[in-house]
Amino acid sequence: MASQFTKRLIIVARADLAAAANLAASQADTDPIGGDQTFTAGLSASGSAPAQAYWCSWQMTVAQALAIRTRLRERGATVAEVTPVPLNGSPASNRFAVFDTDDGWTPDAVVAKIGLRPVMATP
Amino acid sequence: MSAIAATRAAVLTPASSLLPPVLSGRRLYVAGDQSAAYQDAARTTLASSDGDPVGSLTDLSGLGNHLSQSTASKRLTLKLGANGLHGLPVWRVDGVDDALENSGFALAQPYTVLVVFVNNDTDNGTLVDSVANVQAALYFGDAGGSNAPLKLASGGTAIDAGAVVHGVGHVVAAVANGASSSLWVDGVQVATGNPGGNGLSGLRLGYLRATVSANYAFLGDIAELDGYSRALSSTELGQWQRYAGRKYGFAVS
Repeated sequence: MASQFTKRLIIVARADLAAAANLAASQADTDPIGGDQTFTAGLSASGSAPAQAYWCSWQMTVAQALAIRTRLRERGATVAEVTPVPLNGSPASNRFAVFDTDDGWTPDAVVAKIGLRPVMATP
Repeated sequence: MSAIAATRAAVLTPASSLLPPVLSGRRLYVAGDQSAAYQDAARTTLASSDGDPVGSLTDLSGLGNHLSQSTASKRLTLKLGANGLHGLPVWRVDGVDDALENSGFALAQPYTVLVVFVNNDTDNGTLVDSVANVQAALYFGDAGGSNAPLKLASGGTAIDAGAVVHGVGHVVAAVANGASSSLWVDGVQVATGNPGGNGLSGLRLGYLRATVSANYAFLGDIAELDGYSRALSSTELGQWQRYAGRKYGFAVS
């Protein structure tokens, strides 16, 4: 039986909007727990703290992909900010951005596009 | 058994029926073809199709040290068949924030951890780490675009196994035992030294410890994880690594 989890969205939220994004994720997820920890992986221009944005890469159902975009809209995102960025396009703003891996986006391509790097700490 | 019979048995034995050697001190064992994988952390819905999220894995040690992830976006992804490793199931880690963990798991030194994996990145990434903010990590360091070096850090200076070729299957064994620690890759002891004396305080698979917003996210596939509360002998390490090589189809010395 084919998996229902056919979508993978990479979503970026500006740091000051991470709480709103986490709330949206909680409401979009059918699992009642854990969604408030969705946006915890930090990004910054230097690769050092503090994080300027947080991101996630989420394998999900088509319904969940619609739900997270709807919930982000309810938390202040515009239509353009939750519309998946075309592969050769650019995000509508630096507040929220949605990238669909079906369009060819990879995590490396996303951070290159937005000019940020994962925040690192030495193990 | 004659050499011909042994060869025939080896050829006819399906890879999925191979099991690791029975060794004392096992504290955790998960394997893609053996452990029940669930879509959710509560272990209610089986992950059975290629692409399903893996929110929990059943520990086969008998100690109930299951691994789980309560945040949906951080769950691993089940990959089967040709998408797996040598036709066997793996759990894909996305290189962003995926991880499975057991916060109650503890292994003081000496301990041994073995992992079968494919690293799909040339950059840093964590295979195994402590959940608590205590340095105890088996990880890949920065490579600058080439094959990343595998390292073991336990509160001191990391010991470095050198570059490990990405994109293909490997088995690594880390023996954390103070000054007698060692790293093995595909049956060869590649590093010794003293990485420090920290043990694992909780276990996280695929991502760095809980330091806020730190990354070192692993990008690749994990097929097996086995953990022991002692330093396995070189003979035992050889047995385990040869098992992995035979099962997953890569050369082990």
